[in-house]
Amino acid sequence: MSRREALSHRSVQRILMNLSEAKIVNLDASIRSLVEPVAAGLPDEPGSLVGLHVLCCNEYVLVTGLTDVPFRDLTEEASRIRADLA
Amino acid sequence: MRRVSPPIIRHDELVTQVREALRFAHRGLERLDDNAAYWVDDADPFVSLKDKVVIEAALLVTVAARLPAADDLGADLRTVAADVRRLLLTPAHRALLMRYPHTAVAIGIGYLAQAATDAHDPAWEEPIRAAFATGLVDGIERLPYRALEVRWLERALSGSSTDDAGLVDGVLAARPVHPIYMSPAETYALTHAVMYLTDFGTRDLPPGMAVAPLLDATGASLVWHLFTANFDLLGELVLLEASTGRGLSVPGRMALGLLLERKEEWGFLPSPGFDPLEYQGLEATAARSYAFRHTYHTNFVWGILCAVLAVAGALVQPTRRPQVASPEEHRDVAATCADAVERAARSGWWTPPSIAASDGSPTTSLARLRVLAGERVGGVVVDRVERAARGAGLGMPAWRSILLDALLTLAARRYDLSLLAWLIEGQSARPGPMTSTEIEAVRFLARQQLPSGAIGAWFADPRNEHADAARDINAAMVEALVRAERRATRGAGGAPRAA
Repeated sequence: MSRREALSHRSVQRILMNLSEAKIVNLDASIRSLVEPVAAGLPDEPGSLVGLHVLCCNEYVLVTGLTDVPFRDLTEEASRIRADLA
Repeated sequence: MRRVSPPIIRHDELVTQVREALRFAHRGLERLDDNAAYWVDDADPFVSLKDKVVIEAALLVTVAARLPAADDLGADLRTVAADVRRLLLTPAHRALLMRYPHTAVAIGIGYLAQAATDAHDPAWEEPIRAAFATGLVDGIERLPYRALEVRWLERALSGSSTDDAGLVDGVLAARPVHPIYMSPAETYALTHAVMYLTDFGTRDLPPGMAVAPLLDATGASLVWHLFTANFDLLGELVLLEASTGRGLSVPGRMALGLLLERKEEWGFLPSPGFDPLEYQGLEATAARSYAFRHTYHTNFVWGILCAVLAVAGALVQPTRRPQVASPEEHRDVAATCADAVERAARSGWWTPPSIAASDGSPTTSLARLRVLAGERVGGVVVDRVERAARGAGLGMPAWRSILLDALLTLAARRYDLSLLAWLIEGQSARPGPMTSTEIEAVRFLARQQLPSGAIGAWFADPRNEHADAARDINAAMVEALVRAERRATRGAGGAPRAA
């Protein structure tokens, strides 16, 4: 990867998790609980480019509060969820 | 589009929603032991997650019991109150209360549901009151809004008129706040303070409390969370508005419409943590537990909100007009911009002739804002919010203003100063006063100036001042502030300065 190549938040998240799994960095339980569920929801596209390098993925989510709202998946699962709640 | 917003939910429909929330609560509490077996719960040594679910259900009963008897909720209320009694008024909880009197707050809310349904029990009432009377209930350090909860409960249990005056100054709801700076925890604190101060819409806010800034922050937060689709916070923010007795704002009505639409289509409202993919991978009983764990709070809040709307009549009040910044705020932000521009010029980051004498920038169109929002939060989300805007009877200018406020908030939260500056510049030729979010966004940009006169956190590292793009970046930021100063000066009723 060239020095100038931009990273998306998804890329940052992957790097973070790989570093954690390799025990190079220690993500404590609270950070891990934030990073893991957010990972699936992060778009991997130019629109999610990191605007300021000091914001790593988990901080980004804390700062923006934005994740993809899983409307479509919820709609697909709604009838099973309703049955579970009935 | 209609210009006047009618009540979007009738009284009988609100009562139906409350009844559904009570029945949802009953089904969840019936299976609570099985569901809770799957929950990891080590956050609070005194009140388990299972207890918290029961306490929220008790709160729902307490507020819903205020609906008139004619609404015929009695049987559902008594059923859930009995569930609460079975789960929270147990010998184990009695032992906890005897050993740790401050648990009288959690247990006391459970007892309140009994009192609200005429199931008084001196065997519980006396020890709970004793914990308050001795002051031992205050024997732990609490967040300010939690301290208000204690006073609220004390009033509800004893009928006393303890006043919150000494506590109000400490809560976030009494300070200038904006969603640019707020995490979900702050928004939660804001809403809960008002719920307790107003006893869920049945008493006025304390006389010394500045209501206009509070409602400004609430409206701006509603706009932001329409796009995050955090149904928990949307419900609580509408509840805040309904509790103040001043009617709902435009974004408040939109949020209500969005919540109702989701509730009607899905049959439930998911909490922000509900991950459908994780849910898909779970087997039957674990999936059932997950579904309740990640829906209970939002659906209880929805039930409480519908009860407050029905009791307080917020929907029959006219929609609150959008609050715009005062002339003083316009003057203040114009002065802030002028200072920042002067410092940048003095430090050599910007040369005045580089900006055109006229305002120049054409106003950003609604279509362009819509595309930008779609790129950043997803077209599906924007479509849904736009539908909510139509449902609330919004005209194009009001919808544009909401979209702009959301994008300004997003740009500041993402620290996307290029977008922020571009959006601010795109408003410079607009007539009329600025919204509170426009004012706060301009202040935010001006606050990014370092003592060196450079604008942006990149320049906290002085090496970046020598980067090729440093001068262009600063010129873009300063020119946005120049134009914001003109807009603010016009909004304050004065003549813009010549360039």
